[in-house]
Amino acid sequence: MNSDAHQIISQVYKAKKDSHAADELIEAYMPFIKSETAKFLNRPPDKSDDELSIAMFAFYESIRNYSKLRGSFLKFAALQIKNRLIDNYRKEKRNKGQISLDVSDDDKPDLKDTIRDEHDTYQENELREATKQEIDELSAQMQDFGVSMTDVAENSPRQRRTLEICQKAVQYARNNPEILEDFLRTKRVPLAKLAEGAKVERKSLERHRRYLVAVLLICTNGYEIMRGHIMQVLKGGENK
Amino acid sequence: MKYMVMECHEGYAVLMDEESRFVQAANLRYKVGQTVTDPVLMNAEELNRGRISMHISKFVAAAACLTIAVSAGAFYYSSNYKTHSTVLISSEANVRMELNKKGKVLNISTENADSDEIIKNYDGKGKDMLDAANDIIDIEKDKGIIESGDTVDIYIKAETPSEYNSYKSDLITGIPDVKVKVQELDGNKPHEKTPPEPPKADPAKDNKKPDPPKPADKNTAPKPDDKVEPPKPAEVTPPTPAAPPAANNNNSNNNTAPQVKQPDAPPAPPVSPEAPEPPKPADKNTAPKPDDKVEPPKPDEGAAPPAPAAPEIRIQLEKEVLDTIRLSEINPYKALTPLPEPPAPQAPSPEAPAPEAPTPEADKNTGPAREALPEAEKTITPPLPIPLP
Repeated sequence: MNSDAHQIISQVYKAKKDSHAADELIEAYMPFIKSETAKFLNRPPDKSDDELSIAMFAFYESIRNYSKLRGSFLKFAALQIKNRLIDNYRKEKRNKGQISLDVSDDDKPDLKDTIRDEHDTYQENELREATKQEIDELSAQMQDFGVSMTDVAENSPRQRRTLEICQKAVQYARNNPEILEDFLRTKRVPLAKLAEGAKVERKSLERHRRYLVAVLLICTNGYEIMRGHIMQVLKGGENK
Repeated sequence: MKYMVMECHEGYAVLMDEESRFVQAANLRYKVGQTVTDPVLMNAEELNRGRISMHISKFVAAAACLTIAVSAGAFYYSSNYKTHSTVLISSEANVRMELNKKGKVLNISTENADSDEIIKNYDGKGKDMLDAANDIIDIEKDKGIIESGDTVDIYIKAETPSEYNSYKSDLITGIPDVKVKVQELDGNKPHEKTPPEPPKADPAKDNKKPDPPKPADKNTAPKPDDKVEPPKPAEVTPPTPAAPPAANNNNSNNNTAPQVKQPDAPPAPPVSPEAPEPPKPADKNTAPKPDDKVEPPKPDEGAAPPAPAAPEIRIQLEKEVLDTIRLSEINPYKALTPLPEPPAPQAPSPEAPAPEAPTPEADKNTGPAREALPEAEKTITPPLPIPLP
């Protein structure tokens, strides 16, 4: 029993640092996640249930937030899953009375099939494919910098003030192409130049170095769709 | 806010919002490159908030504990160590006891170096006030400062009247052998009991006070045409401090002082028009002695209104009357208030003298003369010596 407990704790601590290990742990504890979801739903969950996805996400959160002081991991994870499902239930309660387009009876066709689709699905698929290519390319380029998307998500600024500091630095790099060239050539973020040029604290930039790598790469040529998405960052530069 | 799905994992997806923020969210069957809205984001902020709230709650709990401890300490201090009352045992050596809220002695001190020996070997701290007071009085007895049966002044300074009264009753009943006189302590010193000041003889006031009382009868008032000299101020003998004047006199003086202000219009003596003749020289015997009390004339309702006498006679009369009246015996209040009606005159007899005959001797002298007078004249008092002009 103790060895099992030690094993799961070591797996959890490993999964904290490695996203692949986290995926493996989630896969390994899928029956546990399903059982917790079933307790909440009072039925076995389907693969298509949002509750199961949310329960898996809650399990991942448990991995991220767990520490030995919190006691047994599985109890902690069960509590996290339950809380997440309750939160989601309350959130969905606001949309009560609305019918999902995906819900269908056996006799009748899907509701969304009866509505005229104004979207060009073909174009959307094409756009998504193009975006996916851009993202794949970006992910590959980020690998050269030793940064993954998960790292960027974890390193992304959360406070508005910090986000604005980083955006100032990115904007300064966009206005000075030699800095971007230097960045691509050396594969190192020119923090000193950015801090000096954008007149921001270098320490703030250092804390979000991995995030800056991703955004500076997006600002280089070849990522038009993503640049179009992040309008807020580029707005100031385009105005200038 | 739109989110672009950047990466998909088993349990989560990495999304990028329009502010170039990368976030982790639940992977609700997302595909890379898809743009989604309203994802289930990782509540890292909530977790942080939870941590912050946990820190805040710890801080609040610590502050609450500190507040409770401080308030409890303050309460304990105020009830046990703060001086609430002071008891001063006053004798040759003043011993001051400081008491807490419970009546226990906090500190004992003396007011001079000589009396330090009283409390030199005595530690009354923590003792009850009454026990400590008894101990101190016993020590003073032993040292010969006081003896049994002596009166000891004890001064109390308490925050509330109830405390003062309880201490007072305790001290009065709880200290044997000596008489205890409890008084209130004013500030740090006992009340200085100053003897009541004797009423000072103010000449300015006294000049007004000896004015003869104005009779109630308007008929006796002098006419405005009469030239009357104001009476001379009589000599005033202020009352001695040992025998302060009666309260009634003081009150009446105070009350009536503003009313007796008519020095220019002294009342005319009541002289009956039916007896215009001046008294005979034999009447000199009837002159009242200087010590005799001369009452102001009473208005006689039954008698006919007296006609005003000649001015010279009246002035002389006033002088005589003023000389004989002792100012200290004048009660202007009484003089101004209407006197009760005199008893109805009975049948003339030698045993029925005038109601205010000053001395028996005078009665004897005036007896026959009064009998000769008509009925209305008998009520006029006193018989005044009126020298012939």
